Amino acid sequence: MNIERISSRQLTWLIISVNLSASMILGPSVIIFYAKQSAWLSSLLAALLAAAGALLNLHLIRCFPGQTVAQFSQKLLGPWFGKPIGFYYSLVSFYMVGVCLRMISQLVKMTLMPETPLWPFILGLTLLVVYSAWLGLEAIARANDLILPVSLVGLVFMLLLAAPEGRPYWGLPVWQLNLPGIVMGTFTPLACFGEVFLILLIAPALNKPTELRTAAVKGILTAGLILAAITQFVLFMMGSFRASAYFVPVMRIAEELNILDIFERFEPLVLAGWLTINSVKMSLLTYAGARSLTETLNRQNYRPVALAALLVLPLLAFLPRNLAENLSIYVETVAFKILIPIAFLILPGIMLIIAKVKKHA
Amino acid sequence: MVPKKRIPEMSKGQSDPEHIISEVERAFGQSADLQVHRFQAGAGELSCVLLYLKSFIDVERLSQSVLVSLLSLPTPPVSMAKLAEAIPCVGTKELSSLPEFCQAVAWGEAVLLVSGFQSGLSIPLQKYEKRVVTESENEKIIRGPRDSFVESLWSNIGLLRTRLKNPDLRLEVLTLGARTSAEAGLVYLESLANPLIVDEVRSRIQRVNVDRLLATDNLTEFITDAPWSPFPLGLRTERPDRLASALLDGRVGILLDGNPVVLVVPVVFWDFFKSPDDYIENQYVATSVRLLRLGTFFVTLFLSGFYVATTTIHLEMIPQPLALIIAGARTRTPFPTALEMIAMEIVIEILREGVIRMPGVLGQTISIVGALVIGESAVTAGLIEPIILVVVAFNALAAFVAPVYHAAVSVRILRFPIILLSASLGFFGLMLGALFYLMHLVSLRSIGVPYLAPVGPLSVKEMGDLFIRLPLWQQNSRPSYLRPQDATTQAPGQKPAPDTERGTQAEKAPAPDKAVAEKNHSPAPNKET
Repeated sequence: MNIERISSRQLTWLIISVNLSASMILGPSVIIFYAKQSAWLSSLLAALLAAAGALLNLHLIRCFPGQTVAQFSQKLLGPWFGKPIGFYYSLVSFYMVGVCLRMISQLVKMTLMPETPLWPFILGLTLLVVYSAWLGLEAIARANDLILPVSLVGLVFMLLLAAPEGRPYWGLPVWQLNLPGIVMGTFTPLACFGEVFLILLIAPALNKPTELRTAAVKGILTAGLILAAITQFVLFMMGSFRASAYFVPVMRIAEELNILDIFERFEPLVLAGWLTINSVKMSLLTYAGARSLTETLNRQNYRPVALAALLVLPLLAFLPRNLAENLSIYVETVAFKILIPIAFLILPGIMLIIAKVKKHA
Repeated sequence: MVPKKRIPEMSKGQSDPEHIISEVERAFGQSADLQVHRFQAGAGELSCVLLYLKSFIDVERLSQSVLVSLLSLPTPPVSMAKLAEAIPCVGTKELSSLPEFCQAVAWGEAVLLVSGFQSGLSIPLQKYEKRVVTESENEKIIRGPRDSFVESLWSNIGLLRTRLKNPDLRLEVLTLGARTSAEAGLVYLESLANPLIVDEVRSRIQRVNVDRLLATDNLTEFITDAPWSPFPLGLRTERPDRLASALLDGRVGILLDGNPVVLVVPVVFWDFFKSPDDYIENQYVATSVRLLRLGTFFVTLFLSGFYVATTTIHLEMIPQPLALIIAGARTRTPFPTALEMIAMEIVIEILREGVIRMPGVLGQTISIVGALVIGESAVTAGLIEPIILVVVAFNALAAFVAPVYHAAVSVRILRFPIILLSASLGFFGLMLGALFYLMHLVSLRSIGVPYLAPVGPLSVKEMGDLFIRLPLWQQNSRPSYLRPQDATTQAPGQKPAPDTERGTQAEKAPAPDKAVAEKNHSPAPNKET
């Protein structure tokens, strides 16, 4: 099998991209809706909880060095129970790519090209993520080395442009301990951060395994900080009422931007930035899903499975009838309440207990 | 698959000169320039035969140096080695097999056969017309050396040696092309180039088994890491200073006899935006020009697509006054913007190709006809928007800002898919195309070196000679992605300053890295992949 290697810095950056890709668009509105002016606390709490969840996963990985979850689950639970776990992680990975494909395509269609059918967007993105997955983890990590800084610089640039219109007093009181609201606001970003379960699938690719824990936790906390900054900025710009009324408040801010009254309407550029950072996540999940399935089937080459994703991903993307259904059922209920908690916390927790009992550590 | 040579091996008893002559004649098919000159030497006791191609040999030297010496021999020599000593030519070689005789004649050497001896002698007397060293046509610079490579391998090596007067410079000559028998030279600095890279290049060249290798570019296609990629994975240069600089980075050069172009490997994507000028101009000029080149790369690739996307799908992004001008121009033309753009881009490509092939004077005429008549007439006739003409013309100029011609041409081709994607899916399509290109670029390697290094994988330390060009006294290390054996390029404290400060600088500066020195003979793999 072709062994791919990434550095710990690359892993950190990949985790930041994966965490921010969904949370930076979906997060601010929901967090502000529940937590109001304490939104920043919700974001940070979500990051801390995600880091704690990641530590659980990392502890499990440490019990089986050099193996992915698809490999060690079979060793730990035997093929009858182990293989379904490998299948489950492939399913979750592909499912997340499918709903993400649908969400991006639908948003692009709604915002920019309402008269164009949905399928060209889904098809184009599917080809891109499968091609990236085909090229492998190293290529995805290298692309992210370029995409993440450029996207963040673009984001900072946008925030600077919008800053003069902001009203910082909308963020007051900063220290409002609305505990139930803070906890409720934590759920969505925590679910988005839960996609970090993919470290269970790519951890053996790290060139220095000893740095895995630092790299992963650093990535989650940095993403949490960035999300808190974005959320707080949205609050300054729109206030808690308007910010929670919009599905994508960042887009609303972009609509109001202009440079010298010559360049205006920056939403396509915001969408482009979001698309690029999401392409990293989708490619990585497709790669991880294909790899997991390959290892579950005890095959060597993951590429045929990646090719098969060309059929599976559009099917998953076309499952929801519309964006509302996609968000409320396929993302919020199925992904955030069932699939991700199982993949990120429940299965690793159970496997860790069994590993401890069987003294695999 | 190359057919095996028809020339039979020489068995004992077949070393008779007449037999060899007939075999060589048979191999050359009674070629008109194959000469067989029989004469008696050594006071008439030696029957000698000279075989040579009169088109490829210095006949005057043959007569004056070889024939005169042989005819004046007082006694017959006891061995072929003794006979070689009597000939005042360097590089004579003893031959013993039929293929060797044929190959020597084909390479322009005179072959001397003497009756009674088992072996023959090859005397290197090649003479062919050589172009004088002139200025490079394709890699022009404003200041700096003007000379460029010519078609002779050995002249090119000479040009290189004038710049690298270093015994460390290694030259390995390999013969390639079963029918062309071209000599390829592999050059590198032994103390710098990573042995793994040199071995890899050598083995890839040796693997080439084809019957024709007429241009360096032919060789590139056989040794590249990604044969289907449109991006060049080797730098082709005509400039000896550029090759010398590449070797000093720890790269490997491949020269091919009969070609004025040298292939440099491994390369990274950013090398195509660097020019020898960058190191002659000061750092501010060099940096601004380099940024300009990078900018024009993106302009070349995306401007047409961006224009098509904004004017056909995202019109809301354009400021109102400009949108009105574009809309006004659009009303006069019957075709969709994308079609006009593609048509004009194709016209420009035709003009470019036409001007290259046309004789000098005509070429200029054609470019004027193309630019004025076709462009202006198309606008007047209402076939093309004037703004499209502006975009296409700007694009055509921008494409050739890149200092390496073949890279510029590749980029020009890649615009067309972007235009089509932008026309059908707007910015989404443009981004999709850009991401496909990005993913392809990051997956490429040139002799194992990541093509997008030091950006992907990221190495901030290497950025001093990438988008910006730091002062030369700050560029203390060679690119680490090439894994050179010696990473440092200069002693610390090179910043010009009074002697007292220089002393302090040298103290402050890190001592020539011991780790680097240790690593010299055990190149560590790249930390980042």
